[in-house]
Amino acid sequence: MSVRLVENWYRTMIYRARPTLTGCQGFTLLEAMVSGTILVVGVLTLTGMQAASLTRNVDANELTLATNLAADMIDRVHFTGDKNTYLVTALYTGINTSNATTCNLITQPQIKGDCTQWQALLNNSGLLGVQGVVTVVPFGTVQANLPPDANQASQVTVQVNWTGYRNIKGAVSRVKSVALNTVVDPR
Amino acid sequence: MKEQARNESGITLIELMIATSISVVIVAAGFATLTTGYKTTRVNNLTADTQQNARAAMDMIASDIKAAGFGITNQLGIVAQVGSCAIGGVPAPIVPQDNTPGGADTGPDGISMVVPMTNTQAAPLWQLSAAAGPGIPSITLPAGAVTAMQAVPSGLAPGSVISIGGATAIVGAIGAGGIVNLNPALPAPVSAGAGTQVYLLQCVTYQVIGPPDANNLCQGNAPCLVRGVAPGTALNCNVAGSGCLPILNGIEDLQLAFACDGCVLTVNSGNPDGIIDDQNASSTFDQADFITNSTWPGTSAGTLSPTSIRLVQINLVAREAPKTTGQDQGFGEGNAKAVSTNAPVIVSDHNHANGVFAAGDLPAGPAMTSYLQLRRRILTRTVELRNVGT
Repeated sequence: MSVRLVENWYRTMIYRARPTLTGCQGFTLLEAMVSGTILVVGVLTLTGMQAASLTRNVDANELTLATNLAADMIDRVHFTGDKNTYLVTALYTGINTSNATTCNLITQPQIKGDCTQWQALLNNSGLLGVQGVVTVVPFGTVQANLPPDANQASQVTVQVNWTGYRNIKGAVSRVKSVALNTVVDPR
Repeated sequence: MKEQARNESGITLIELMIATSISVVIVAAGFATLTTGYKTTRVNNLTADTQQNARAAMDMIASDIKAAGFGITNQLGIVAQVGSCAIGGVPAPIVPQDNTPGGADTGPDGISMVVPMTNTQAAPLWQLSAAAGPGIPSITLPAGAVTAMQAVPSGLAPGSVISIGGATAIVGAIGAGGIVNLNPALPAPVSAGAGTQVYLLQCVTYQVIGPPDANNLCQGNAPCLVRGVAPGTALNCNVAGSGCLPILNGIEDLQLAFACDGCVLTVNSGNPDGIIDDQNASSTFDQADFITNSTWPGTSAGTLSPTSIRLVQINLVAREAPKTTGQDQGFGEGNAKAVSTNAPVIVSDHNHANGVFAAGDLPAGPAMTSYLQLRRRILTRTVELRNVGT
């Protein structure tokens, strides 16, 4: 009796396992692989979005640091420029923190101090390849009846360049830049 | 029987097992992605919040410091005391509050300063409803504006200091119909047209409240940055019912350094010369000329007057919110470690290994480990004071 049962079960299994051509339709291996591939691509894209989101946070932090560094110099320029526009026009222009000699060439103690302190601040900021540049462009009419100290307005641009941090393999580091503008004018 | 069996088209046990295994793998992979996604999102949010807090705190403090004073020493020679902004009974536009004036700090600094408050947004605007002067004995404001000015913390009252479009005046009696008398009256030729903005000057204190927050100023989220008019003359927000409001969570440390011009009597006879005074006899303007440890004014007569402060260096440390199980979505993401600080940070003259963080917030052991696992953002900015001088 029991042998008969086992034989029946075995035959059933064999018949079930046989490929049938009578209307039973499953998925082919190819279909399964294609759907699996689509799923994997979707999931990997989601993971990529997370990575992109993290990268944006890193970018935001770098941007904040750079903006603060630029704002730092803007206020230093204003401290001197509010009293002495002439010095701003003459001496702040050309400050370049990646050029070690720039600060040493300045003789005016206040501006030299601004230059060296700003350079130190940039170099300790943690931004990769950071460089700060100050350009001053005078504008307006020079008035002969005024002393040179209070003679002319200047547009001051403080630019901070750095290389964006990229932790993701294969991502390209881009050079980024923040520039702040202000005007110092005779008071 | 045989024919019947041949026509059955179910699935075999082996097929079922294989299919189940594949499903389990796919579902597990899906859950792994979901959990990782949650963890990443959480870390992202915490980091973004921390950066946002640091940035906002820096912007608020910097803009207030730039405006500090707001012309309390006006063109008429009036040096008005605003609130409790005074040092030793002498009105001051800015009151540095170093944590330890005699040496290295063991906690965050604070600062109080005179800043303007006004309303340019919603009616009733704080603007003159009628022209005044030359010579202004009283001003007239729109109906409701005076009530609004009285309602704010440390609001308008006899003795308050206001600025009428930049002309500082002390308030006398407050009459009906929006009339505010000035005592003394602003003499001619001072005049102001209708619509001139009126500012109420307040002595505002910034302070970092660290754990343990005994007075619950941070509403359970210590450390935080509070801003407001501190009660009494001590300029201390950290008292019960102080009225200072928490403005940003996660601000752990605030360190301030001050550079002054005309504060050292041996430099240019104590007169401002447009160059920051040399504090360390180095003959150059260097970092040491930013004073981190001192009382204001200095111990010698005529030195380190607060009105001589020209540059303020602000250092801010923001840290992310601590990991608590309450923020967990059920995927264990709240337990994610985020070690980013190798050692207690050193900001200006405050080493976090000493002082409040070592003693209260971070005793040795598990809490210190937690300190090191929190992300921090440190910002530094130098700002110029525009309004403290005469």
